[in-house]
Amino acid sequence: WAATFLRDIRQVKVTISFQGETLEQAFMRLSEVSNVSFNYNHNELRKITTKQLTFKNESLPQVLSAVLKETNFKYKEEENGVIIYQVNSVQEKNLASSVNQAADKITVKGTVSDKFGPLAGVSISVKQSSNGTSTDADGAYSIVVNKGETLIFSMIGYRTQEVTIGSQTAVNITLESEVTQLEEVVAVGYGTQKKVNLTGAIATVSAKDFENRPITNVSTAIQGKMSGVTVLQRSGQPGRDNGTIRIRGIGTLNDSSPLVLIDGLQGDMNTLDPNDIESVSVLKDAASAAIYGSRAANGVILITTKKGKKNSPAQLTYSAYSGWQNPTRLPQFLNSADYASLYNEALQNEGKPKKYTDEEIAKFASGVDPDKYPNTDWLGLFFTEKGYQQNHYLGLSGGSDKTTYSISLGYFDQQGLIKNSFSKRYNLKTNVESQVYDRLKVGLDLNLNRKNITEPTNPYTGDMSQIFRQVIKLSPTIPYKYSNGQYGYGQDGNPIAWMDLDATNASNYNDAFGNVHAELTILKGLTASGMLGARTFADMGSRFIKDIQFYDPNTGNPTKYQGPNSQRDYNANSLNITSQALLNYNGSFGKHDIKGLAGFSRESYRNDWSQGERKNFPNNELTELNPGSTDGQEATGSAYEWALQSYFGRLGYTYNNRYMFEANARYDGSSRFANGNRYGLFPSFSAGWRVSEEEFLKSLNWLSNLKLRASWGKLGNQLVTDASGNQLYYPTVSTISLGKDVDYNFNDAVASGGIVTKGVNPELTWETSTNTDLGVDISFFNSKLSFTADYFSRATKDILLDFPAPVTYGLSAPARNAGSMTNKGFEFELSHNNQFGQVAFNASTNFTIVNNEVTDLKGKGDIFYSSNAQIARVGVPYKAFYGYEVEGIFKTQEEVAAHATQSGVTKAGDLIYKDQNNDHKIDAGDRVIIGNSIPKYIYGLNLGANYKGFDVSVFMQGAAGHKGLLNNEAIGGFGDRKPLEYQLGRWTPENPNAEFPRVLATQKQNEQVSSFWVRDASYLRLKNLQLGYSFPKSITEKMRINALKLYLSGQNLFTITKYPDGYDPELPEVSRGANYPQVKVYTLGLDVKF
Amino acid sequence: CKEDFLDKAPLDELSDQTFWKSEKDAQMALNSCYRNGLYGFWEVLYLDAMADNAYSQFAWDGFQKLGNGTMDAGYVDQNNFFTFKDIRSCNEFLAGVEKIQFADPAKKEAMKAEARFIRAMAYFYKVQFFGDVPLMTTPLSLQESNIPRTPKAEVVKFILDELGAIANALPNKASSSGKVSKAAVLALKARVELSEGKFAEAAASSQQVISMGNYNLFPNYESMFWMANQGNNEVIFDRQYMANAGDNTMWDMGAHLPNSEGGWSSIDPTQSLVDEYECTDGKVKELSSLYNPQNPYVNRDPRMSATIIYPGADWRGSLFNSLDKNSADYYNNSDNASETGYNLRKYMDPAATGDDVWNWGTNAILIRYAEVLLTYAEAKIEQNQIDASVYNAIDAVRQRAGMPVVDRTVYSNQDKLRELIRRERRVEFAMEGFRWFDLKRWNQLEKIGTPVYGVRDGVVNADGSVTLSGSNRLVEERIFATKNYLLPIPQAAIDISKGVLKQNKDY
Repeated sequence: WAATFLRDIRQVKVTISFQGETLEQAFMRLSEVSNVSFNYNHNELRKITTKQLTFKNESLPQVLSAVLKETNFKYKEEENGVIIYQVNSVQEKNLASSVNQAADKITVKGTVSDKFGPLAGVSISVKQSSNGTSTDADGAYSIVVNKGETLIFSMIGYRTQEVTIGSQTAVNITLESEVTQLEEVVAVGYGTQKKVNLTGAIATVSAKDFENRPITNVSTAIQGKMSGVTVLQRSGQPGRDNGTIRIRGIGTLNDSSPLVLIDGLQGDMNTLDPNDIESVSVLKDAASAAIYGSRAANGVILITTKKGKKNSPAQLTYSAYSGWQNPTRLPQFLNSADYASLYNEALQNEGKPKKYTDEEIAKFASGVDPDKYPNTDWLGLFFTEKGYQQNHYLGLSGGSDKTTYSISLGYFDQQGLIKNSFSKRYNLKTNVESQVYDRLKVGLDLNLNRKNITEPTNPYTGDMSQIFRQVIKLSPTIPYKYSNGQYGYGQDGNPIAWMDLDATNASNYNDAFGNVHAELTILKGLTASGMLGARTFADMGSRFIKDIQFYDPNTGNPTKYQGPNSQRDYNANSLNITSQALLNYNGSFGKHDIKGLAGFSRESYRNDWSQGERKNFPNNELTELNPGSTDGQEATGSAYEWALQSYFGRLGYTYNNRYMFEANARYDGSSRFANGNRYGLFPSFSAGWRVSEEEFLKSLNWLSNLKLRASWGKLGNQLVTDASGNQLYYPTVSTISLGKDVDYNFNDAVASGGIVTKGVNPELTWETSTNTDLGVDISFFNSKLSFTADYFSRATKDILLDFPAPVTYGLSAPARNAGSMTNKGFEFELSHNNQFGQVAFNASTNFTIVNNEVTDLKGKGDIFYSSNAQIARVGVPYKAFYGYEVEGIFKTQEEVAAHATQSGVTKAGDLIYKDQNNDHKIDAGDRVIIGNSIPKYIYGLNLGANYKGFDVSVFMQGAAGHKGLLNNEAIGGFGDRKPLEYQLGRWTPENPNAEFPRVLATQKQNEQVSSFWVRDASYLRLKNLQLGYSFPKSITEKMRINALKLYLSGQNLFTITKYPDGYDPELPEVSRGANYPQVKVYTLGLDVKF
Repeated sequence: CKEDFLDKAPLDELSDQTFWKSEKDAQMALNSCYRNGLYGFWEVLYLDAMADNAYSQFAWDGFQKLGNGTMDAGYVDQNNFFTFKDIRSCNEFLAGVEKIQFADPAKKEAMKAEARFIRAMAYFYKVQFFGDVPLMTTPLSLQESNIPRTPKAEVVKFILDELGAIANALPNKASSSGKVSKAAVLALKARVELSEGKFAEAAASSQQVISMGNYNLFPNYESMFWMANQGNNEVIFDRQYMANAGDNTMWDMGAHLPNSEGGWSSIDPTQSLVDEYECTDGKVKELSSLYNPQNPYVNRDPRMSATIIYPGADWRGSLFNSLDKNSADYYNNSDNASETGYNLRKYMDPAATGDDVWNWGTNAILIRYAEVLLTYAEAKIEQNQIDASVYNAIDAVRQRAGMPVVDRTVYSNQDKLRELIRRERRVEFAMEGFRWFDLKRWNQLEKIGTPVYGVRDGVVNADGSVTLSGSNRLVEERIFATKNYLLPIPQAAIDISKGVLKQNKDY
């Protein structure tokens, strides 16, 4: 043996995995890895095989204990190395008798547990001797020691503890888990894998990241937590405050949403209770996602819900919080006196007479005659509620050695900032899995979720956003109510009068999904498994609109009427059935590890919907359909289907834990395409090299892991949408359109129509994105510091595009495979955790750079969005802002005259648009790209510390390198607007260096889409700040509970941004401000474990 | 596994292969030709804003630029004037119907005639707006359909040939209101002939309709446009609407009613139109002693008060007041108040109250008997064949409206009669979408390149009279260039055609 013996084998740390080889082989490798000599009987050890075991940086005694566990071998240190001997040998007897001869020997008993309950198989050794034992299934142990000796409690995945024995005979130990990054197991497509063995780019978050935050849904829970995953929360409306998720940029001109799978079934993450989630894996590159083929082009999110653990007693958990909300930012509008004088100025700026006299303005200011000269604070009348929210969660989980279970109940109630806006969610989940035979495991997962979203309606347009629009639009010079109790109103009505009607639109979603699954072990390492899953999603809407009659306040005559009252019931029901069969193989042959997966799946989907509407109810109190008038009643309904059939497989090979190769492929067929273009093949290849396992780096104790990764592959996208973003289910089938859009009528009776109106393109096929990823994972100092970096490139081609057909075609244009776009960038993640005395500290940060570019539109030319404010143009990022470049504000009429002609009404005080093409006139030809709407940089920062029972955590999140456009009501004005506070800083002849242009009454020359209104929407936000206190055991034991934690948490506490005052930078990229505001949330919560 | 797992077909639409089997299928497709092929209220009520009768106050409605002459090559065709969806539907029907065996071949011919009429009418509007337009008579594939513009003369010849060919396949008067009849075919033919200067043919075609005897003038000019009287004997062809029928519903009352009633005042009559109405003595206002510039709305052609809501007008039980600064109808008080101070009254049915104004069923009249009479008269005048039939035709229209017969002594020659017939057409068909086409064929479109004015300042007195002072309110400056005799081809359409479509001159 060349290896040198080290005196204290506890200081030898090894990283090794065993895959069922003989003990003889195992010790040969262990010797190589550890530089420690082993002496043993080769013939005897050859008869025994190891279990599948993996050790990361474990001390040699722990490795030896685990390898020899359940064998009749033990080990013993000697001068020249370690001797492996059989316990029935003479040596053991001698050893035992020598112990018996010691003087102060006592028997110590106790149980070892972790936070979930008793732990079986914990190794207990005596520091001063080679004596040792392990805990039984109930976590109990018993050992004979000498007084003054030290017991070492160790188990893989837990922090080792030492206890010196005085006179105590009972020692109960709670081990703390110590899952290092290298041991972490992550969910991958159709399975799990140790993070250290990954060759693809997968980002994960676990339940820990969600804890004690008042997050209302899963999408916002993952915001800022992972590199490469952009989440923007566009609204704070209860129930509709989920984020939009984009993985590694925007990959298509169509739907860029990732595929979401919950325990293997396609689902909606926003109906889940975040408390039920164990982990979220985001498959970002082709290596990890290609196994999902045609739906993976925009990334895949795998959500794993909490399951019970084997051999753990029943654990009951209760957690709850209550919170209050505030808007993050609200616009500040001028009072009616300022409104009136600024309006006069605006009229005069257009050469028109003033509307208000000085006396009238004085009356607005004094408030003497609130009927004629009111000062209405519409926002104040609107945002009247505190947004109380509460969450309750009750979970029970546990398991025997054969069966595990987990049951949970969740309730969430979120009130809004305005009346009649709220959301409630009810969740019930159960998972059971049992080893029914030695070779057969079966399980059942079941989720029942109900979510309600209620919002106010209005009798003008029916929706809620119109109320927001009117609130930020309606002039303070219009009274909310006259002194006689009648409502004031503007040309579109009165939003607070509408709110007073208490008419609501309720959406109820029932989301039930579940699966039964079974796994049969055919041979060692070879398993066959099957899964049958179903999801039924019901969307039931009930909208009542109440009518309102306004009156002339002087005569009492009825004037404007908004109505009639109406009830609309909407019912949609979908059924999604997934069946899948997998064959899985894992095998090790010496240094060769091989794994393989072959699978087949089928998915079918059908959605049926119907809607009924009646108008003219006898009053505003009955909100069911029947009391409505049958005159003019409407019934509509339809259904659609799609199906997918897929074959897929994976082949992985690892040599010596150092060189890893993996290939994935999926062959997908979709019902959306015509026979012949239906199937697509999506392959991927990846490799990893754990450089840290090479001899030349092994001696570096501070280097825990260094891995290089590379991958390449193709992914597909089958979601064809029309120009307005609606999915098309039969884009290649030529049909006769029927119904309302083609019907005519003769003599007031419907004459049913039927005619071709849609062009189709039978050649249509998949969008394909080609992905390349290069990555490196490094960790240092026993993984206390770790760093991951990735470069990625994603090129999408054959993007389905509504290519305009010649006008003479006379049918709507069929989609074609035409567009191309790329997303390239870098991702970095850095994390560190450490202990300073009694203070444990952790920090992690992630940073992503994405560059998006539209690379080809096949000659279609520019595509415009958002009323020409955004553009898709070859060579620039998708949906870049497009408009005039502003050079400043004209200070004098001479400057206007000297500049290229803008419009006939341009005067001093107006914005100066740059004459890009030098033709001395400003027109459409002078518009240029003026900003990116897709965040170029996203980042997150987590800091946490705890001291004794106290913990504090800070989570910041941000995005940068993108802009947002505010227009219409959001930028204030007159006529159908009202002015904002910033407009006091307008240009006037006396204030020629003003930041803002002059005020105008009706002219819109300063409101063109321009660099003046397209503003930097970068932000950094304190997403969450949390203070917690966990009560010490001494107190909780008296209360007969295991653990109790109280915490205070604040969400969205502050935001640093240059975005215009009053508007949240996470608003939709083009906004008129009529949005539900983002909210700050203050919560108080508790967690109890029984 | 069976491939059919992935074979899915729409559950709420028919396949192209299974359609075109029965007469019922043919009738459905023909119904869709009516739906897709006809102009409706959008055109009838808005087209006059392209001319001097009205002002479109909302830019997004797409008519403002067409009226004030600022449309350019980048003009966005919000009104779908340059669409071929209408032609496509008709061509699909005409191709598909041939696959169906009819029990009665004459019925098949009649149905084909209906579709051919709709196609001819659609082409006539396109030729009026754009001159040369691509002429298609069969459904073309995506690849085949990128074709250049056909010379206008060829398209007009096609229209007239078609109308000539189908007339006898149809009954004089349709069995059901709303369907194409022989009278509609001939009246449209007369309209096309008149606009092409084929006066003899126009006179003959309109004479044929008059001689049928199936049509006459409805006794009440104002209520002719109300729902209670739809389908009356003056209506030769209309685009039919009904309540509660989605896009087939007339919601336009809401769009045009005054702000004080919750309407939008989308199309506002101009001072120029108001000035055109004669006084009740049959004289133009400049020559009539009945005209009082300070109180100009009394003693006027009754068609004015039936067409326009003016200050002091008795409107739905109270006096319309767009002069009072505190009135909801004062132009400065709301975007939805008329900028001219005048609101549209024609088609504003008093039976519609509350929400009905957004959900009504009045039909939009596309051809009515009065047009046939005035076309006959104009065609005869242009040929200088001035006889009693000419005066009788004009008299009939005037007398129905409550105006005296034509003063034979004043209107005794071709020039004077030409002046009269042109004024008569303007006031008779005001706000019915005729004006731009009339000015175009009279070579008088330059008239619309003048500023639009509205009411003068003043007060509405308790008795409904007004006391005006000052000058007329300036509402909009307008320009007109010769190129504006045709609309520009939308640049987007040219771009998609990769230049196969050429732009009109000077755009």
